[in-house]
Amino acid sequence: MMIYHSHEAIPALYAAAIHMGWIPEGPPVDRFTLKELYRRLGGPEIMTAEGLWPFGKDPDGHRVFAAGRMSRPSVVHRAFHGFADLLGIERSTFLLQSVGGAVAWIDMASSAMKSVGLPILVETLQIWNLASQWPGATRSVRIAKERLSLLDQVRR
Amino acid sequence: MNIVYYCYGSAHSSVTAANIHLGHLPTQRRASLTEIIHQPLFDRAENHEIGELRYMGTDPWGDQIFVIGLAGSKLVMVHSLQDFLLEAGMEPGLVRFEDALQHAGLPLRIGGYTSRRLGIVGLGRLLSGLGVWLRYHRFVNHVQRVLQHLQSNQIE
Repeated sequence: MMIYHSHEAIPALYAAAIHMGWIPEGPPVDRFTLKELYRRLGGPEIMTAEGLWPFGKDPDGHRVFAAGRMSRPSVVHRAFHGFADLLGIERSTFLLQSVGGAVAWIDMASSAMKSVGLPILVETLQIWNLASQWPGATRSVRIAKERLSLLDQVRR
Repeated sequence: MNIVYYCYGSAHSSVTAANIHLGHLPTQRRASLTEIIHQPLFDRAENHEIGELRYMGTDPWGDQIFVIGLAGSKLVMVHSLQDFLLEAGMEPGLVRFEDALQHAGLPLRIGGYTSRRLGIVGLGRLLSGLGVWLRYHRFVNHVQRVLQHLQSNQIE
């Protein structure tokens, strides 16, 4: 299992989408592709969904997920490892990767727009937030793929 | 079954609920301020322990009782953890999460912050103990609902 996590979900979702090849790494894609990605990720529900978002299996057979944590990365890592140890889930069967921060004010602004019933502005702000994720997400995916590769070697 | 009482920092609310569950605090009457402040692990957790799953004991019916601090948005983390356990092949219902922070009022929150974050332990511990004392019945009611549910499951 590959689990990307970020404070708000959007950076982790973007990273998972890069990992799966839905969008390329690197500089921001065109607006049309971003809109497609936004719809594929659930549109406005991006902000309110909770739990692990499944992305399917990557070409190497790893199941990929993304999650918002609303907390610190260390809390996530301790919690997941704690439950894994309690229930006998081998730590080598999953990998947690923190993805750099969302632009918090955009998230707050889109929450405000949502509460006053301006969906068009919500979408615009969230797509803008999505577009701004590429540096941190790209970096995180590269790190995650290296770690996954090492983990696979160890398990063989 | 594994019962996990959670709150922000696993220092006050979750610990109180767990201690009530394990019989370290009374249910037939309101615990005194002294009993609350001197209960096991009350106002002891450090910041770096947030996210750590801590074993509190086993109840008379064989359920293991834990506490965990999930900081930020606990519900988001709980959903992610539940999904993670399912995806890892664990049976649903193996872990039951109980929100203890919902019973924390302002004195408890201020006391907890004063003790754990500001380091003014004397005042903070007293205030958080008072906060628990003021809302003690809520903690007891919650734990009793959990116990009733566990017992009715066992009868089935």
